[in-house]
Amino acid sequence: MADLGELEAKLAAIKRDYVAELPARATNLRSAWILTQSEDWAQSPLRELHRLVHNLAGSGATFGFADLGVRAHALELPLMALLEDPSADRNALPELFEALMTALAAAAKQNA
Amino acid sequence: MDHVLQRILYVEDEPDIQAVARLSLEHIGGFTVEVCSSGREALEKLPQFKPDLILLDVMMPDMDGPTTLQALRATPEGSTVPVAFMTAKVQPQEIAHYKLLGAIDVIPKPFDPMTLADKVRAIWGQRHG
Repeated sequence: MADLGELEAKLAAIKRDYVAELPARATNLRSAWILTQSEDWAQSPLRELHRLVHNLAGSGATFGFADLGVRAHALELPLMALLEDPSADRNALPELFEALMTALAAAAKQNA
Repeated sequence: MDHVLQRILYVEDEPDIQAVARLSLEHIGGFTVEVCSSGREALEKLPQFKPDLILLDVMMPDMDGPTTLQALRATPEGSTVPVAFMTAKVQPQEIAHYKLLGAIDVIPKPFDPMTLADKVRAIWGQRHG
């Protein structure tokens, strides 16, 4: 079985890679957000936006960025509701999205 | 026939989560792990890899976890291989739903990389212990 120190070092390396990719994820997320709105919340861009947010909800928490995980999950839920019912309320989405972007920026500044 | 858990087919679309889970399952659990990024890739790799257990992310693009499970069950090699879902949706009614679909258990996400292998072994033990 692996040495604990070696394992922790490998986990830290994966986390460093993750943090390094966060700015690119933020860019992709912003693009998906803009596209979804410009296409009037059509299913295809909405599905991609949801996928990006869902992945952040899982990975953020796994890598110890609790706020990122919580903010992503908070946005993921209404996006899923919209996928299931296009008439669902969208009023809260801009605020939830910007809160997620703030959490993303904060996580990206942290050293692994 | 009861046997030791050794080979795990792990299906997850998120590369960072793949890396952490692989590390946990291989280095802590000592398992042999094949990682697939999609349900389709899992269907392709299943016959050759011959897993003892399949870990299946629920929410994936294209083929989601339940759809992948259904497709796996329709193949000769995947008709009886135990499958556990990995998902953030772990309300009791959601877990019951996944078990109704044929999963032997559900592993909550996010998972702790230090304890994932133990959780998988416990699930296996419940079935084969």
